[in-house]
Amino acid sequence: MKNTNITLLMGGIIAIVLGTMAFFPQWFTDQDPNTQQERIQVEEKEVEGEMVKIYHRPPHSPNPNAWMGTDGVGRDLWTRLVYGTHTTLKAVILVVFFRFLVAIPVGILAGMKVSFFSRGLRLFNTVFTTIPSLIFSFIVLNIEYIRNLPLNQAMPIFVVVLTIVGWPKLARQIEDRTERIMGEDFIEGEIALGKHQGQILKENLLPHLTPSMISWGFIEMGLVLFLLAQLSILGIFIGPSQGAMIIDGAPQWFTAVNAEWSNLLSRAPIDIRAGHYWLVLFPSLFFFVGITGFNLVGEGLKEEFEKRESRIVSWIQQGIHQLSPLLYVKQIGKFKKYRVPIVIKTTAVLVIIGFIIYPGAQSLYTFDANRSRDHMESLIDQEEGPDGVQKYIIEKMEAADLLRPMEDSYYFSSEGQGHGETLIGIIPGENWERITDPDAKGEKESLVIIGTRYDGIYQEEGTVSPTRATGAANGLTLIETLQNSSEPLEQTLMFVFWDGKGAEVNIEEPNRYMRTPVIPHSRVNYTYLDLGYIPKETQRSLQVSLYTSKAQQIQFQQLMYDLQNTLDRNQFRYHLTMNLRGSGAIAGLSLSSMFSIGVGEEYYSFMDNESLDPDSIHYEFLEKQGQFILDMITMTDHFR
Amino acid sequence: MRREVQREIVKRGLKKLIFLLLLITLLVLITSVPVNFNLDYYDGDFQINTTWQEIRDNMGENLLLLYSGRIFRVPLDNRSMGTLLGVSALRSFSVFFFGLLLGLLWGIPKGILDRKKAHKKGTFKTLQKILPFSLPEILVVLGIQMLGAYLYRNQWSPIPHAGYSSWLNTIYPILAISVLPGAYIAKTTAEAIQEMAKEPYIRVARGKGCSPYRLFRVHYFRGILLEILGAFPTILVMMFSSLVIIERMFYFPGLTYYLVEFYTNSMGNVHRAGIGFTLFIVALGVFYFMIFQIAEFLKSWALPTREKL
Repeated sequence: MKNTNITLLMGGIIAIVLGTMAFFPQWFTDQDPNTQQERIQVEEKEVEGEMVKIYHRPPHSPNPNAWMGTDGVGRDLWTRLVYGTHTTLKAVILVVFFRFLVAIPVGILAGMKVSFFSRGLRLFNTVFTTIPSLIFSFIVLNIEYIRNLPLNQAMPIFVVVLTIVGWPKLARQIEDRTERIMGEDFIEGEIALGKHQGQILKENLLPHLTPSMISWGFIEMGLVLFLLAQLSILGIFIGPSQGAMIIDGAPQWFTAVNAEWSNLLSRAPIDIRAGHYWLVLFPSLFFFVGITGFNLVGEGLKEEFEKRESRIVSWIQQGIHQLSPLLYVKQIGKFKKYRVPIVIKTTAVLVIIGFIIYPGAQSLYTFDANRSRDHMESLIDQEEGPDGVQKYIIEKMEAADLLRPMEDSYYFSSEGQGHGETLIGIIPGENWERITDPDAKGEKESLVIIGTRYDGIYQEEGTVSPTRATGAANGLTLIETLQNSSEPLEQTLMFVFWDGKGAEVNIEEPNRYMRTPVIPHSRVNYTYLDLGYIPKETQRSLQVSLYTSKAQQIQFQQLMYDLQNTLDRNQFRYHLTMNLRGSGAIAGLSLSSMFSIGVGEEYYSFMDNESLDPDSIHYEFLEKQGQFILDMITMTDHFR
Repeated sequence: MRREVQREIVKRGLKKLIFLLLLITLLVLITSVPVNFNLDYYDGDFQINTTWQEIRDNMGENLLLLYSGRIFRVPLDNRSMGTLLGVSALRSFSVFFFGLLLGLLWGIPKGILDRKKAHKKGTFKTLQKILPFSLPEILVVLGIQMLGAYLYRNQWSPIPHAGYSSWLNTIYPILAISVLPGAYIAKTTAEAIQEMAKEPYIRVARGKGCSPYRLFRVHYFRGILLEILGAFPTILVMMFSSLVIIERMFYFPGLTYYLVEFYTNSMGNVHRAGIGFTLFIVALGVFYFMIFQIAEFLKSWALPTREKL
């Protein structure tokens, strides 16, 4: 015990606890970080001899249900901090890794007096000393586009920016240390023995540098956390925000979607002023503990490396040595002697290879893109023009036996049956009876609305726009696939073919639906999936947008994860944003929906003139759009 | 003074001046991108919400405004940019200067006391060294603000915990900003004394019975000062970052407070905010450059003195 490195032990314990929290947050809390607690809390209090009820709205101060209190929209602070550990530590580790990746070669070469690198390093250092890293990072990361990016796309940008501002300082440290090592007597001896620079680097310099770099690595992690805490006060954090307290369609303030440490401090000046001390205290304490932990590990390792005979140092050296592929090959040659390490290493290699090549879950149903193309060609080849399009869609809905929600009709409004109407058909799920039961009480049922536009295919000037038919074509194929699915769906699906009357943005019809919905809002919570237009062949990626005004009310963490997985599984280039993009209906329906996903483009100018040739459409994206929606509906928990 | 020395001074001065002008120009060029700059993904490609022509025009206008001095007369909210800059720079400078002074005042004695425990190796000592550097400013500010608010509301203290109406408002920001540099100065002082204690001249002085006070006054003090001056660039960078946070948290409208306000487009129209942003970032750059040069000068002044020892 006397020789125990207490500093390292304390730092190690903190680092292990944080690591466990990052990978197994459910061990620390049984709540979802996005689930809103009871919004209004009632407190009974005696005032002037009378018992009165006091109603509190979020943020709630620490109480038995939320021992660290809740945030401004009522989400449990402890749960958000626990779940946020993963994102925060991931960012920190990535930044430190990339800083080292740049700093090691530059620092070593500068330390070995390669003038190009030493001059370059000095220049970078001067620039980033003159413009403080906090200000530089703030200027770049405050760009609205970056602030709206989803977490997985914002993370690389944060990593790049924080790497740029931090690597020169680290490289200077490495340069200094290299210079000192290169000035040692034993290096002169090695030179006298005839070793060239490369050999000295490999056999002398790197082994002497590695311990220091491991120690600096942890200290650097503390510094990155420190910078993240500073940036958060300026309102900069990783991941997008969402509107909160929406009044008259306008959010009164914004709150972060993803759980992450720094976003909890983004309103710190306001929270302190309002007396919500817990919203600042606990996240800052997490930062403090994290920074202290990494600094302790760094210092502890430094102490350890100074010892002549340190067990930890020999473990590290052994560990690094064991990772050598050359050693593995040599060990295989002497299998009997090195049975155990060979088995362990081979298993590890196989697990890694398996992880890389494992295809993941396969789609339950295949989206038939050819069928979609047939629909599209039929839609653009109607002798009766727009009326023919409408008849075609109704014919297909009838063929698929979709329920007619409006007085036994697919027309949204009974008054205006005929041309110029939005069409609605329903595939009932297992909850359909509960939805239609007028006496049903209790929680609202779930409904999925899949919407697309079918208007404007036939232009006034006599031209036909195939792009405008893509959403409807995919909608019809989805109806056919889902209606014939072997497994019954839990949730009811409502297919809406919006008639935007050829306008650029379709607002009137969605607004009409919002005022007089087919199924009253009081009975269902709905999710809106929008099939936007398929872009032209030359476009490199497909637009995907996600928007929610109620992230705090649903299992949003899981939903984001499912969305990302489904997109990645379908292997296409997409551009995901956290705002409203799609047929235009998405804007109208998003404020009351649980959330809205748009896949495809909104109106763009080319579709009515340059993209009139059906061959100019990006058919791969046509297929991917349909398959993505199909997978979301049939494979993710939120929809099934 | 010999002619070569004079020539060397002029040469160095000119070099510094050219560097400063280049730095100012670089800052103007960078900050001429409109403050509401954004990009969007549309029609399958990234598009920016401004044009290169607009950015080039901004660069030209800002350079002209700055080097002609007209930038100080650009109006903003019934004031000129120059007035706003003067008032805010004075506030920031007060916090910065007195914060540094306070940091020195408690950092050096703490370093000397820490040195006494140099022979002791223990967890407490390591923690004492690490903890001040692990404290995020936000936690320090929260502590000071909560205490300040408590004292002020109970009328136990006349110092308001936020705002900028009187000189009393600068006290808490000064306290908050002095924590990190103070800790760094204490660490530098302790390490400097430990290093110097190994020097033969110190051993001889102690062997001859030199009192600790005399030892400190004659030998240690200059060495400490030199080390602290050497650490100044690091301390300054630390303090600049802290200043941004502290001014924001205390609603103390100094240079960095307005800088953030301009950039987040909370003040005036976009064009004026852009000009303000350029002016304030140049002012910060010049401020930093000047302080850095003063530190360099003091270091070069102290160095020969040490060589005489």
